[in-house]
Amino acid sequence: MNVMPLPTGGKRTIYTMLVVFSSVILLMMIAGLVMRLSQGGVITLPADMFYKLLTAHGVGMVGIAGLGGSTIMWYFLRQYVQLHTSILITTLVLFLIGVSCILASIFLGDFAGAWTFLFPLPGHSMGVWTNEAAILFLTGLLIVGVAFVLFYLDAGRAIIQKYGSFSRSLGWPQLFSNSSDEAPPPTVVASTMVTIVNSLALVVGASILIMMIINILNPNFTIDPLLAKNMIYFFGHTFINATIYMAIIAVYEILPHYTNRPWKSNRIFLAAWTASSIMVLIVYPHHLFMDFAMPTWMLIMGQVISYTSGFPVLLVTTLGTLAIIYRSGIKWDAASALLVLSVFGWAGGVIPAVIDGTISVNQVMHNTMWVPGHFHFYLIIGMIAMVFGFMYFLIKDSNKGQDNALDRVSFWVYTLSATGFVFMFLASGKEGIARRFAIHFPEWQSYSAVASIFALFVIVAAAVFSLRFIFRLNAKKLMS
Amino acid sequence: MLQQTSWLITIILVTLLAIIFLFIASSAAKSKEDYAPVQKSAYLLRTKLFVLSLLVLIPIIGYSLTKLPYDTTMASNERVKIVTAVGHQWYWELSDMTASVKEDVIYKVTSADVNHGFAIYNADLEVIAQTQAMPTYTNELRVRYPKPGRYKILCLEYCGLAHHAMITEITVSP
Amino acid sequence: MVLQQNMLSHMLLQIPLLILIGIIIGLSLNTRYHIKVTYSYALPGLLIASFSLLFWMLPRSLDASLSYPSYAVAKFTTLPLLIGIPLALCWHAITAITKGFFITQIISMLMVLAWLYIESPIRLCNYYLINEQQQLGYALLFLTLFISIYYSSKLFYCTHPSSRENTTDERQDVS
Ligand code: HEM
Ligand SMILES: [Cu+2]
Ligand SMILES: [Cu+2]
Repeated sequence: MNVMPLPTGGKRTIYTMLVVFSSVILLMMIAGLVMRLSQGGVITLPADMFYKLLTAHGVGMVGIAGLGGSTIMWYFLRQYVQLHTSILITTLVLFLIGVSCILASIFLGDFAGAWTFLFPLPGHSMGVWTNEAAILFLTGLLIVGVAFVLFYLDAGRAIIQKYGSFSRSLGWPQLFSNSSDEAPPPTVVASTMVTIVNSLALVVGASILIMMIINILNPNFTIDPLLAKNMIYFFGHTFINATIYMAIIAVYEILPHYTNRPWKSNRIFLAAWTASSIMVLIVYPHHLFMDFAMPTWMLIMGQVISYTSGFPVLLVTTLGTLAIIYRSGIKWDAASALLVLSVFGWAGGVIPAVIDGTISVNQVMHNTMWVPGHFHFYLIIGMIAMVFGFMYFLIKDSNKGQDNALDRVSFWVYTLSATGFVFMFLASGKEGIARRFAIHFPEWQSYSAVASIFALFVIVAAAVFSLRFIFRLNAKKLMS
Repeated sequence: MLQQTSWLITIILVTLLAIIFLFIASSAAKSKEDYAPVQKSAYLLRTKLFVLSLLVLIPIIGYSLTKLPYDTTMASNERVKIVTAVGHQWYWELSDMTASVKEDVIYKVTSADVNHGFAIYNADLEVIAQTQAMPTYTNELRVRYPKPGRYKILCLEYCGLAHHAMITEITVSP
Repeated sequence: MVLQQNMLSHMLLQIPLLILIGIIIGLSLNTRYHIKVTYSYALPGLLIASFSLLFWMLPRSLDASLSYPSYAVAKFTTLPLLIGIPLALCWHAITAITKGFFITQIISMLMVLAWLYIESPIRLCNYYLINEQQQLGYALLFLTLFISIYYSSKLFYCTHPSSRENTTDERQDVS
């Protein structure tokens, strides 16, 4: 496999995307801290402001996770196939335009319909925000969606150009018919999977967004609320999961550098990715367990697939990671440590997720803090750690040289405080504390107050990661 | 009960996972071994783990699926009370705010505007049951109150500005 | 005009047939005169085609084509001329990404249209009954599904090498 060098334009775009990523992450984390402080009764936030922050934090984090994952995917996929830098730039620009619409709708138009924009809430705010604000928000999301559609179209085109078809780039000849050709590398397999599932998710997401815009403009065109919910969760679930499936590429590509051990696609690896591609698409009904009106078979499927969905790729990746570092003489630095941490974060977060994917548990845990508990687990300690690890990898050979004590300390601060932070969410969920409540009962408040302290440390560590990246990036530019 | 169990299982499994990661990571840098034998035993372990998890998960899935909350059909001789519950932005409208521990209550839950979540909390603020309140749909939730006392209905689906204040109370008599 | 008596056949038979006529004309023009459309002309061509298509998918326009002769004439001329011919001439000239973009966009558009026809509480056309309208909606839904499945499976099995694609994708990195 010949590795193609990255063009300078591509490099610059990648760096820009990562700077955007770090800034948005920090801002949104601060928004999260403010929410937690207000839930803890430490500060008083008007309810409308809380829900605006909740909407901004949710949509901002999901969007930026998508951008971070795409950055990783593009950077490594570019080594195997011909991607267009121009499309990447277009993606970034459209993304930023969409984000501006969304921010304007929230902070100028008072929109606070949550990032899941469940029908019919956006058009039914009881006068808190206007229909125009709702339309601006939905349009912003649509633009962000178009940005990602372009990104995946380019990826899909490039993959097919090189490999002939998706069945080949998923390694089906090797998987099903014993082909003796070399299997496509993990990066290509993962990118193919994400391209397929996210294109489907985005097409469905775009449709429901347009439908909701039409409905707000002319309420005579009604939408079945249950259909809308299905479409929204199909889109939302698939998209946020795909961020991890993109970011995990960093683990596949970077750990071999540190251990001098290859990470190759073998049959089990290929089987796992193919299985997860299908399952990630049909697992979304686990968001609808409490919609008793859903066909029961779909909900049962939702539970069964919840148990098995992430499982193949997760098992292959976790064991693969442990094996590749096991007595490898790995050199620990911030990049390698964050990447190994991220695999722990992903696997660990799946545990409370699967438990909540049990219908009878969901009956008492659904929409309690258990839910943000599990997803912050694999997003903060998993997904975000993957991107920070990737950023450290990029600046590894800058002239500002080695990681220093600050990086090491920050790594541990991040790990411990993030763990504390997510376990406060999970403990809150165990206590039945509702999620998305602007104001908590007095007996609930101490959980949020303690969580705020952990959150503060998470933010400090993330700020160190980001600033070190920007600082060493500059130094690197000066050198070259 | 389920909450405690979930919490315990999570703590145990995450701790176990953390120990494995820490154990392997702590010795990873010290020595340098050939990859082939490591990989071989990892593959073996992977197969074992896969089979083991199937053996554990299948019975759990099977058992938990016997506890579905969806079936509300009743035998004709049962004492059942039917209550309609309608969610509005931002209050609950229940046809009956009382119940007895001696009877099952079937709540017919729907919404007059946006999505709400109909969740019953006991006096210790633990969720005992919930369902979604959706416009144009009616979800039937069957509950048997375990103890007399006061119960709260909270909204567990974000529904706008006063979502957190959408609370009402039910009195359960012995 | 039999095709117009029923909404389904009007929308899903007559209109596609008119477009097909245009495509055939376009293709034969192509073989006869070897018209080579470049990328910069192909894109506007296809944009015109898709907006015209969107226009004729709207119930209002369908209705008008039955009530007013001018609309009827417009329908019979624009469908082949503005949709069929550009489609035949321009489709090959655009890059794979633009093609993909059109296809994904058309899928979303059809999905939304299907919903519009199914859910509309009012009769959108004077000439057709409301249940015909719903039938059309479901038909469009199946069409959407068919197109999505067709294109997805094509991506899985079009195992031909890249040679043909390369010609349109020469403009690689701008960097
Ligand atoms: C220091 C870091 C963070 C803090 C303090 C924080 C805090 C919060 C809080 C307080 C909530 C609302 C919980 C509730 O429902 O009451 C929330 C929700 C959420 N967070 Fe975070 N968060 C952090 C990091 C992240 C990251 C890194 C991501 C994703 C990459 C993320 C994604 C989300 C999402 C998707 C929601 C759900 C929003 C909704 O319910 O509509 N958060 N977070
Ligand atoms: Cu409510
Ligand atoms: Cu609510």
